[in-house]
Amino acid sequence: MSDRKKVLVAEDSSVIQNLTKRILQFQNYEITSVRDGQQVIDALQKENYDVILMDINMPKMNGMECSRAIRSLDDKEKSRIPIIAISGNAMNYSEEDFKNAGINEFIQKPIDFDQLVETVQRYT
Amino acid sequence: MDLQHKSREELMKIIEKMRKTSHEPGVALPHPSSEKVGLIFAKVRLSELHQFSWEHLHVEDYNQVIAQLFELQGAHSLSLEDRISGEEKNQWLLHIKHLLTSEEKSLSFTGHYGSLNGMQLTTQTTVDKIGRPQEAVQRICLQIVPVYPWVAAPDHHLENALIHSNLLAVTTDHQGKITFCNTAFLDLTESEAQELLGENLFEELMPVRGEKMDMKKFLHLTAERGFTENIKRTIKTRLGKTVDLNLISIILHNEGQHLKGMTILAEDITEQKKVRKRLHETNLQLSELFNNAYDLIQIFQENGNLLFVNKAWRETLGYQETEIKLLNFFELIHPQYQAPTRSLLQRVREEGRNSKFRTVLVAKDGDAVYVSGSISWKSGSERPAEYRVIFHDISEQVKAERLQRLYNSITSLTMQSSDLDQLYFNIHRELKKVMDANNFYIALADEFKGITFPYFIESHGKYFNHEQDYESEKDLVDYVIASNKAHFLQEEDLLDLVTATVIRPRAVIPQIWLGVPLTVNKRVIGLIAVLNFEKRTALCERDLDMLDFVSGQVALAIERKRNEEKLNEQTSRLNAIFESSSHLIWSVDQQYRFTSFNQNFVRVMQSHYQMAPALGDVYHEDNHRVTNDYLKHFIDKYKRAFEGRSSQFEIEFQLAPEYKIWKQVFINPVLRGDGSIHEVSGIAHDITQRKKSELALLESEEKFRNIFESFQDIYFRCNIDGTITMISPSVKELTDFETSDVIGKNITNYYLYDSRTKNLIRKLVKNTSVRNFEASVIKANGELLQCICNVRLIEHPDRSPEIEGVARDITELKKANQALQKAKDLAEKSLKVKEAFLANMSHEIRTPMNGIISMIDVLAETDLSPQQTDYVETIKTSSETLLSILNDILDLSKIEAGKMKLYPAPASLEQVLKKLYGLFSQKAVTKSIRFTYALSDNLPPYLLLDEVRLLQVLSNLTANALKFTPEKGWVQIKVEDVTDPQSLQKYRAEHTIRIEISDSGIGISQEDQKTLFEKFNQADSSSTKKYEGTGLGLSIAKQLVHLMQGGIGVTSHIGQGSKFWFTLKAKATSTPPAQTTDPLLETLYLTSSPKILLVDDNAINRKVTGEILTNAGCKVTLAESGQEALRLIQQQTYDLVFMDIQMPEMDGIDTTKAMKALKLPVQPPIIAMTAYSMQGDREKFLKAGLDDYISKPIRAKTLIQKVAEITQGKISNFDKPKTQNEKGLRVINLEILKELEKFGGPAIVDASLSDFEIEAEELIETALESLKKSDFADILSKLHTLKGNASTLGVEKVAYRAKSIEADMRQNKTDTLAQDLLSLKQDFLEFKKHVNSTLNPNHNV
Repeated sequence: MSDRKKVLVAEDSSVIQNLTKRILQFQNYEITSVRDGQQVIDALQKENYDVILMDINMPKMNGMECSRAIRSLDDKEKSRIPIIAISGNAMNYSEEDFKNAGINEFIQKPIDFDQLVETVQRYT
Repeated sequence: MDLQHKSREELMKIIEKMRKTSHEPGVALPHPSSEKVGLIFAKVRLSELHQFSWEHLHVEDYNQVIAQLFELQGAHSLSLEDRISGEEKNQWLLHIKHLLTSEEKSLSFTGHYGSLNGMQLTTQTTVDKIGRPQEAVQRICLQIVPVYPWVAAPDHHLENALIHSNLLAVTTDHQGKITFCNTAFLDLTESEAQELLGENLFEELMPVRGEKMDMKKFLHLTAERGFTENIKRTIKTRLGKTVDLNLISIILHNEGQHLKGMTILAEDITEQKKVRKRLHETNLQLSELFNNAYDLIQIFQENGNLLFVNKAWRETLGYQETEIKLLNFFELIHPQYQAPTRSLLQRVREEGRNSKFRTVLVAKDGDAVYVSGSISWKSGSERPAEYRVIFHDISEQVKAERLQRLYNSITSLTMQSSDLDQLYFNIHRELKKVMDANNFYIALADEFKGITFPYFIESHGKYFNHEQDYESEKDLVDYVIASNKAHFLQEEDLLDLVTATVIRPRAVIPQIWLGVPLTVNKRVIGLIAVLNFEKRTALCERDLDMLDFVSGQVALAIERKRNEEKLNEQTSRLNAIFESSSHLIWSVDQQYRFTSFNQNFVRVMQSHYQMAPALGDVYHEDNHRVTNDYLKHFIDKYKRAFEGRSSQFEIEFQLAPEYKIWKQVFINPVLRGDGSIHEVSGIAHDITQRKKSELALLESEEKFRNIFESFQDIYFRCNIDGTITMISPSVKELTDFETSDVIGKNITNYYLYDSRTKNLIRKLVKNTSVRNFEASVIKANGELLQCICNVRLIEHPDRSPEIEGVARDITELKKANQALQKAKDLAEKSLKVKEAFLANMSHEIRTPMNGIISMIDVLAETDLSPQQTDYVETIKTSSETLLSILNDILDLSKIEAGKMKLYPAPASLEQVLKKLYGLFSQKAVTKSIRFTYALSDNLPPYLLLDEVRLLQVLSNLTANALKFTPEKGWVQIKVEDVTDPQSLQKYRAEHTIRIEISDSGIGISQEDQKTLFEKFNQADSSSTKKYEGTGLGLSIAKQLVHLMQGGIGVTSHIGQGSKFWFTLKAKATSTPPAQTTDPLLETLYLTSSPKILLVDDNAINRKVTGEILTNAGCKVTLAESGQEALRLIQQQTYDLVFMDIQMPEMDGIDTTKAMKALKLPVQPPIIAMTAYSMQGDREKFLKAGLDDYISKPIRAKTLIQKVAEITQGKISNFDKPKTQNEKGLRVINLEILKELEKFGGPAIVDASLSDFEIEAEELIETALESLKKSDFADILSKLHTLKGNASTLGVEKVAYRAKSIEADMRQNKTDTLAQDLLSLKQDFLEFKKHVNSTLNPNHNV
């Protein structure tokens, strides 16, 4: 069915990337994986997504920068894609920081799988 | 000749006279009788050397014949020697020999056979050959006729008789001297008797050609000539005149053996001779004339002997002059003309002549010669009567006439012959008239049948006896037809054809074969042939000409006859059609009178209008029932037809009120050759049935059309290549296409083409129909219409198949279905989550309950006031009840969620029973119940079974038994092995164990027994429950027993106690059970001593939770309300707050909000404690600002883990001093992996661990590399990633190590970094080892 929701996973660790991908695929999501922020922007040029899972700690363009870049996209629809941040050290940033960057939700590592699934479902 | 005749008559008279005058006794004169014929049959053999011998000739016969012939009587006999002298005998034999060796059939000669009484016996003998020529033995027939007169009378008698005769008579002695001469002789010789007597007759009077002739010579001559009549002599008269004499008889006078003398009788023929000489001259002239004439001249005697024929005659009839003498006219007449010719001749004799005499003669070669001419009859005294005939040869004319006649007759044969066979016969008959056509056939060449012989006559019946003969003849016919020429073929020509393999060989080749192709309009239809197998000359070129001449007519006749027959057939066929068809056929003339009609017409007229039509009838209103309108209608049509236009119409006849018929009528002009129309034909047939069905069809079609037009779905029909031939109007509504747009287009233009639709045709051909096929139809505006189709292949016997189908719009249906599917998926997923949650909760619930109970026991042992002891006892009872209930609920839900699994391990039944006894003996003692158990001897010492679950079932049943047994009763447990020895063999050491728990309790009614093992059922369901319990125990026991592959049951009677039993299957094992420690008694430690604020309004909970935390090493401050908590938190810094949610006045959420609102410099995480342990709650709490939650009842382990997780995970952020206590950390936290398994099965666990293994190694190696370069930022980054990954997967040791190093680095503590990283690597290697060896088998644990 074409109503499979599309999730863009941005994560430089293949462990987390694959894990996220598998868990969400099991929930019937269509997953596209990228390894850095720049690739997120590139992927968005080509396609639209229902939600973006974003690791904060990424090379080239980190999650915060990337989120800001997304929010400032010309394409209205794409600029409003929900972003869920994933990070091991959430405390480096305040909730305020996330909000300002345009991040809708924050999941802390170690990832609680239930939380992950629940959060993604909530935004799709 | 007249003379001779006359002389003979006279001679007879003399002989008669002599007889009369003879009176000498003993002398009998033979009686001259020309009727007498002697017949002798003989056989003669003729050798090759022409030696001749008699085979059979009886001398006696001969003598007898001669005696009879000459009427010799008495003792007169003839000796053979007498009869035939040597010389004569030789002659005789020569004659016969000649006859036998020649072609001649017979010959005659004269013989002398001695004398009798002076009379010479002379006979004329005719010898006839009988039988075939050239044979060695010949049969001959001798016809012997006596010759007269044989006078042997005394001289004086004779002389007396002759003296006055007109005949010249002279007698001599044996030397020839004249002894007597009569007056006539004297007169002739002009002599006196004296002068002549004594003279030698032969020497003096009858010299031959001037020479003298002696008597012997004369006698010899006589004998040679046979007949004395024929001897002519000249005699000299006294006066020297010569007189011609014809010697008509010589009478010899014998005396015994010696010639005495002879008497010669003669006549004067001098005058005659003169006349004859003249006549001869005349004759010569005439004969020259005759010979030069073209006419056939002949003279013949009355008896038919030919006297004269001319040259033309001879040439025409093909005879030699010498043969003429032997011919007889009557023999020459064609057998068919014998009778008429003879009667004609008779008339000629009466009338004298006939100038229109016609007859047919047969030539020597057998040809018929047609003659006509004049004939005259000459008779007179002078000479014998004769016919003189002059014929013209009219053969050619006759032939021409006959040919003409033949031609005409053949032409007319067609009329005379009733059928083809008759015609053939007649043709043959006519041909036979003109030629030897005894062997005749007609061959017909047919394109299909080849050569056939419709008429074949072979008169011999022996030359066409084999198929081969006919085949050969067919070849010949083929050959001649191909040449298209008349053929005249003789035997050798035919043999050449055989050699050239033109015709096949055959037994006998015809001698002659004549064949002429039959040609009609230059087309060869066959051949006529005549042939002869025996006589080559039977047919000649002329016959071929004749055949050729008539062949055209024969061909025409045959063709005409054949056509006639064909026409007849056709006519009869047409007639048969005319009469036999079910159609009414009639015709009318311009006055509308019937000129013809068939029987059907009559029958229908009679049955419909009760009147029979007649030829010439006019149908008008008065005389029939057809109403005016009908008549007018028909008249109109007739008029049209007379104008040359055909009509066709259907007409309804109302024959009776309820009886209607329909006819289809065709009215056509009957066109004559010149285009004029004198008649009009009508053909009608009944179409009532058709009409009825047509009307019915029309009706049903209308019905169908109505349905079709109001059809909601799209009905379509197309041919096999997809061209749409029919589509319902609904297409407009659904797709916005007009029907006219779509018809004729290809159907593939109107739906989305993909692999599925591609296979449709294949499926269709295979199954002839496809149902519920989903397709996307393209609408006029390009949108897609989701359709479900039923498509069917319509096969036609006579043309290519068609496809029809119905497409239904299911766009809405599809949407609804999708929504439904989604809802269903969601529902199923939620249910699964719920079940999984419950199942997972079991452990979490049981552990704290056990903690509570344990703590209560601990508490009970402390110094308590009696009141406190009482309280503690109450708490303990409640806790146990609660635990039991919880256990039951959780077990059941676990079973139902399919999560309940058995973990078989070696166990001793005896041990199990001991444990059970230990558990329940105290209670039994309390109730004074005799509680015993017994194990049978045959039990295996160790079995593989799940001891915990077995104990659970046993406990349940034992507890029930104790519960329902009044004081001083008994409870007994019996364990035995009931394994069937055979099945034990079969299933390898799998034993069936049966356990019975009997009691002397209150018993259970039959009715209650039925529902005993169902969920939530208790035997006592009254409101005032005497016995406690959830009612789940037996249900759980039943489920567990099922898991153990056993059964469970009860026998009981009210008041007589109960006996519960169950069985289980377990394999025997030799391994003794391991010594296990109670998991519930595990010691829990924390690695640090965080300061914790515990907020709970419930004192027990506060107490229990506080105790657990304190025991785990935490510094606990208790707050019994939200307000208190707020106060405390402002006085002191805490690492963590545990917040009960349900509190009076200020609940946990409000308190949390208030705490957050305080904006403390260090905000500790706040953990909710709630009994709402369901999924949805967690979210609510998190939203309220709570950092985490923990469900009630609080279990020690979970609580401590939570503390460790939060404090140790975040401790650095709070700048908390920490002790690096790694105790309690696991290489891998299986719980987390189990959690992960929920999201994708074991595969996701394996894959993730594998990913981690690879990446972690890389990260660690990279970090070590970076250390050499003192790239701390990179190390930090790697550690950060490793920490997150490891903690997510529950790789706790690695996660913890990474986190510690990261924390140290952030505080710039890098002095131990190298060593720490190596430790990290060590931890990782430990993980690897763990994963590869021990972990995998436990994945599904």
